[in-house]
Amino acid sequence: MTDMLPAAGSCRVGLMSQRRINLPQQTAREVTGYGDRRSPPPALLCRGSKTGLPVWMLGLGADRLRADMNRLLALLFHQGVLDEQFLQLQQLQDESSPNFVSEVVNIYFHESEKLLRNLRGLLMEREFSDYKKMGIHLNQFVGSSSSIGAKRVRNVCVAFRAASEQNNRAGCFRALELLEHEYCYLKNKLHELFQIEQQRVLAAGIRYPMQN
Amino acid sequence: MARNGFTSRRRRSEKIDAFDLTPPDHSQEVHVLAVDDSIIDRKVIERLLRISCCKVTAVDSGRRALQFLGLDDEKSSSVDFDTLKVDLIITDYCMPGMTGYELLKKIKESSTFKEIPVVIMSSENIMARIDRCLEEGAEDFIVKPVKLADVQRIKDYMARETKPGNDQESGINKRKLRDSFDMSSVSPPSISPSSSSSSPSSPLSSPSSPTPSSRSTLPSSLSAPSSPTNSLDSPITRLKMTNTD
Repeated sequence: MTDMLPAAGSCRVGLMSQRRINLPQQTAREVTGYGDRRSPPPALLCRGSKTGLPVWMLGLGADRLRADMNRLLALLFHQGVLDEQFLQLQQLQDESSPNFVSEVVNIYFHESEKLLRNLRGLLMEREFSDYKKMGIHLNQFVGSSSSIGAKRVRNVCVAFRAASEQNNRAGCFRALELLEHEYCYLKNKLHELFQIEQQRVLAAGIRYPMQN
Repeated sequence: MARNGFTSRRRRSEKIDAFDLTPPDHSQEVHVLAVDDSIIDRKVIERLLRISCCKVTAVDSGRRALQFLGLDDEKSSSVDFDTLKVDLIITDYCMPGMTGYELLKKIKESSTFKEIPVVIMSSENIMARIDRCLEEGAEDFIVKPVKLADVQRIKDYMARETKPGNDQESGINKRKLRDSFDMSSVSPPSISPSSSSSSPSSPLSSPSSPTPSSRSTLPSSLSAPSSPTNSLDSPITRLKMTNTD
């Protein structure tokens, strides 16, 4: 994996989200075991390759996209950005609830941004002293991050909470900066993940129109 | 099929005929009342329960939960628990207003609902908190984040408790076991469910054991031979194992 690990405080998450992941042309088999019930039967793959059409035209984009997704997931796990609770959420997604993960994650984003605004608002107060209130926000943030498997964000919140418990304002500021950075990175990566997933679903749909 | 055992009615009152007269589809599914102030956790627990074939009602506070059950102070009208049929209550511990612990107490104080198993969830793995909840009558304590395995364990555990026949005693006797350990400090851990009590009169409801329940003294007094129901499935054992590992 040649992707750079973001250094604390120095990465520009905008750049991260622009970077495309390039893959070799063959069907990637390095799946990480992420279950996907919509994988195509191998017979169709073989048939396609005999017609002489370029591989990408046969909708093998879906496979490549799945590999992209798995690669990104593996990276995020490796970086400690996500943990197995995220996998648990994926297991809860199926035909009856096909957008479960993105729904939960979008709620998480919404709630988190509220919390971040509140936290920043509190710390910016000239006469700030309400560490207790900050602690309440942080407890919520820790809980929700843990529930979706956002491990790094959660850990920063825990450290932030410790600084808050010590009434350490400077420490809280540093923690807030770090938290905002980690949160941005997470959000960008998850958006990337969902985009790839959407494209993959589309690609799989075009390839097997009958199966829709 | 044993599924009929999920009807909470059967557990709550021995006066009602054991034969379930309600339509099968309602009694097949376990109805869970989930209480959590976090919208994310509500969404996740709801999905976990639905995927485990439970009906779910999710509320955002202890007060709403009591309202739903009809235990709210404002309206103490008689509750038609036949239609409510809550089989399990699962609640977060840390909530603004009424904590999960306070909710647990209110439920255990109610004659109508005290038999309903209550499970506490918490992001903090604090033994004192766990003990306190179990003493108050909580069925189980789950450390968040909640996983499918946790929900499945609770379901199995409820299935065991509400199975017809002899095993139906096991849930109540599990508590009796706890109490009897405190009061008689006698040992033989191989107390079989049927011998412990003849009639399932709920011993748990009497706040008779001010001393800590045996669950909290599990390591010392139940060291070697674990009692039949407090085996490896015990959440405390599991917690302790994960704690020390």
